[in-house]
Amino acid sequence: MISTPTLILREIVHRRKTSSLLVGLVAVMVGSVTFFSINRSGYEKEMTRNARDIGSNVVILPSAVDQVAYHVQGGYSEETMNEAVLQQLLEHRASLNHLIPMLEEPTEIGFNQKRSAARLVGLSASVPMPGRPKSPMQRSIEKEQVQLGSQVAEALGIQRDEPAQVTIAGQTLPVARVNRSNGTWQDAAVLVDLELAQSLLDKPNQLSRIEAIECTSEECARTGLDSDVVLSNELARITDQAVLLRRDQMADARFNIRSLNQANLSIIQNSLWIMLALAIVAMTCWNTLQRRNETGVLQAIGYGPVRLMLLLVGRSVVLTLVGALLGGVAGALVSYSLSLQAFQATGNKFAIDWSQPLTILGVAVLLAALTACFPALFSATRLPADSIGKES
Amino acid sequence: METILHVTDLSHRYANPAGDRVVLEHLDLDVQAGQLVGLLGESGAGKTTLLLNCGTMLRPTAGRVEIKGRSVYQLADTEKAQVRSRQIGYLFQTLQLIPYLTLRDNLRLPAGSSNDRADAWLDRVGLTDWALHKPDALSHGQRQRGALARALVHQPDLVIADEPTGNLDRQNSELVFRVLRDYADAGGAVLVASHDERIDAHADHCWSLQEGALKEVSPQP
Repeated sequence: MISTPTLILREIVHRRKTSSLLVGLVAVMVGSVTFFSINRSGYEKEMTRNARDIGSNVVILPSAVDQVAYHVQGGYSEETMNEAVLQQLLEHRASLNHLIPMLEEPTEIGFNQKRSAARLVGLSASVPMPGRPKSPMQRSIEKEQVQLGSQVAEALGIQRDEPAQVTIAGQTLPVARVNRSNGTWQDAAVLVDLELAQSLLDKPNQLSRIEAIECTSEECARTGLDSDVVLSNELARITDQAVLLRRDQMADARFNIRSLNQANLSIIQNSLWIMLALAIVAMTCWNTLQRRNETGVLQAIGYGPVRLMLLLVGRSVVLTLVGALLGGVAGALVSYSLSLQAFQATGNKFAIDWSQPLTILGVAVLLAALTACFPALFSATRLPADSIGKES
Repeated sequence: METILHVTDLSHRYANPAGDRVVLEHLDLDVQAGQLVGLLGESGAGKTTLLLNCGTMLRPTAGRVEIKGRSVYQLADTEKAQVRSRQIGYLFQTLQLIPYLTLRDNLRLPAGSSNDRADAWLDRVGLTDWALHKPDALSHGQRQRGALARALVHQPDLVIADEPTGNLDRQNSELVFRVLRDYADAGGAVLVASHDERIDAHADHCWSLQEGALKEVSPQP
């Protein structure tokens, strides 16, 4: 007696044009879903990076800050708070990330005979919230060195890449680099490591502010409150030493862009999944019904319902498996080959997550098996003459 | 002799919007082991319907079909499949060889078949040289003999052949009838529907199907 796998393979080879067409259809659909799924991961990383690079949208200030004076002075206050506030925010897992503690004060900087006003800013590398690991948004400043804002460097006559030593608060420090102009207060800043700034300004353990990015989407969804209310409530529970300043437009724009993207990506991905499912359902039904006559012959020879089911379902599964393998690999490789062009900021770190094509393949095969079951069951339980035709 | 096929009060009608068409009406038929029973009749007389009813392929509208004492239409699907697999060999009028299998593999489809048995039957019907060819590569006569071999290869108790000599030349027709006769002589029960009146020379009993009823043609009652 011929085995079921042999029958399946012989039939597929015999009807190679039809089989190739079905394999091709599945490959195109699985390839599209795979390409989009992998691309979506890269796209979301790119979006997150771009949104992050817009800058911090939350500032934690000492509670003693007079906010009118703060804004009148261009976003500066002499008030400070203890850096324990940072630890408290971390311990309480506030809905924030990329926290950058800073101490700043206007100062005077000298180079050779020239002097210039500047804002001395001590900062440390951005601190991720525990449980939300992220690549650092702000890297640490070189110890015992300074980074000059472009306008300060121009005022002192220091060229980019020129070795130079500057004097701040009576201390001589080498220039690590001159930063490019970015049109913000950073052009007039002298950036140093936070501990050095605390030492130069004689303000140990003190901070002027903590910049951060809000991560309130889960909490907002859970409580139904606006982001600023969520953050203010959290901060009030954590400490009375600090107040919150939310850069609403920036925060809302970030939130809206990400929400819009998520919604659109979900619509596209769901549509592709539906198209894949429909293609497989159509393919398996057609595949099974097309073989109605042959099913009747095998029934007449004595094939039972179970063996016929295995034959019909097996055929659909084999065709889907081959199509899904080809489509999955092709979709993944096309995503990878386009990643460097598609993702300017994160493309060099793009890697194929093979669990995605494997999941899609698994779902496609399962779907093929399930959808083949119904027409197969229908065919396998009819009497042979109903399948073959009564002849006369 | 053991009764292999026992048909009682069998009727069959096809539903039709213009009115049901009665094809078989209150038929009784027995085929015993060692017998070859012939069934003659005009086209459309209902021969194929009767054979399908007898072969567990088509449920009759009324009546009872027993194969070796078991009422086959009362069996579950799996049991019906077992009856077809072990007790019935069916030769369709349209042959119904599987097109993607070689002739030998077509003969290996029934349960209990093997390469050796397939080769022996191919030799018996003169198709040894065509064992590895697919049906498309064979003439109609060769396909017909191949389909006959497939119906016999698993040594069923009951062989049902629908027009086994249709479109065959005299020599091939003789071969087919001789093979079926030999099968009956070896103890099998054979029911053959045919236009070919030469069946009469090989059959133990010959019936004519007319207007839904069976009339014995030979031996004369």
